[in-house]
Amino acid sequence: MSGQASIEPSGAEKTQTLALDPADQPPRFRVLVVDDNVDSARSMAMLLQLEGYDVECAFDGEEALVRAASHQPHAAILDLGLPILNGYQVAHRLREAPAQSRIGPLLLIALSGYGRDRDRARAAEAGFDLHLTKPADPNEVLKVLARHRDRSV
Amino acid sequence: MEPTRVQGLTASSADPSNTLAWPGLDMDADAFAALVRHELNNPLNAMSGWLHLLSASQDLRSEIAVRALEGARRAVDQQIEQIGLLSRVLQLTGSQSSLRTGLNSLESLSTAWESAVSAAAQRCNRAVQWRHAVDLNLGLVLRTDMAALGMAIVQLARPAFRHGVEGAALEVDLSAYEGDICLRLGIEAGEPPVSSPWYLLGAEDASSLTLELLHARLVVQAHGGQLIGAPDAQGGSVLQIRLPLAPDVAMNRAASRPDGAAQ
Repeated sequence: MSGQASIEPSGAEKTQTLALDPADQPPRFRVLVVDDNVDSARSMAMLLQLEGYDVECAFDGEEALVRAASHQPHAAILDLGLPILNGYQVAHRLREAPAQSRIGPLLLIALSGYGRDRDRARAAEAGFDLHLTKPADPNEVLKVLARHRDRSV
Repeated sequence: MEPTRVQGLTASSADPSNTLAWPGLDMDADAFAALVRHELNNPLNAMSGWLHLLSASQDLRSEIAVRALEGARRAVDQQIEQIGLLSRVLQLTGSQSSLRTGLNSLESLSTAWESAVSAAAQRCNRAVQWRHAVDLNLGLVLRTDMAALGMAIVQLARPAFRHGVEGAALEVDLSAYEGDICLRLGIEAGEPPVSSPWYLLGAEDASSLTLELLHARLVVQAHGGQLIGAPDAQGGSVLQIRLPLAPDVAMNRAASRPDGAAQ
């Protein structure tokens, strides 16, 4: 974990930003974290921000698509049981997005409490690159993102 | 909604046909185990994230550490709630009913439901619009576990409050239909679909089921009732909770007679 981090006051806003010393910041790699369990989303977002990632959060499937359009993430970590549009539908829509609107290969990670073979198969079919089962090991998530970041940025 | 007269009761004109059966009641053991794992692993995942942040904090008085601690406490509360729900679900699916039922007037039930749902709505800064399309003064009686049923109704309304469109009100319509009492929880027509457990009713998608919804359904069914969900033709979503009147109560029998003697 690098740099002296500070955070905005907690409140109703949907995302918090961590301000790191610019000298410590690695190249900005954008990640979208989507989970209707607000604590899961926010703890993951804080963890990634402390590691220098540029993170946006969304808490339902529809919001995920809106955030993805504006944030243009390199990677998205999606819960599957989401309100409005589920994670499979979001993945499908993200994969359908025109190539010119993306900044590079989008890494899609499913992060779900459902971890049966059929759930993994369905995730792969929807376009996910990886399926992680909750509770996720934060170090494992960081490793996966770091590998993709090193290849992409 | 214009009320119509059915068997001496004032009933909603809502037609419960064209509805979809609530999916997943007859879950196999594998599906149930997956649901339980999913529900218990969600708060555990949040806990894992917050504890990772907490352990990485060099200063345990820093704002990050404080927020991580608060988050971990919320995750514990969520976990306790889920374990309590699981325990109640297991009781409801056991061989002996865990409900403590008694005779309750529709009037007292309506008051209790309105109070509980409104309180839940307020906590989420949401509004509720209540409509009574049945005469509460008819003296109708249901045999219920008032606390369990009240909790179930709040659980059914809660997804709309959590995920509903900002400013949209939940419409609750109490009526009678073919001798049952029918409580309809609806989302305003024209509003976007509000929550996956309702929106995905037609998809038979297990990921749309939660322990909370399963518990609510089991409570309704333990009362001899039915839970029916349907996307509204105009874009909203409606849940119907149908509960039978107590058959051994004279006023109910009179009200259900075709001549409407109780009027």
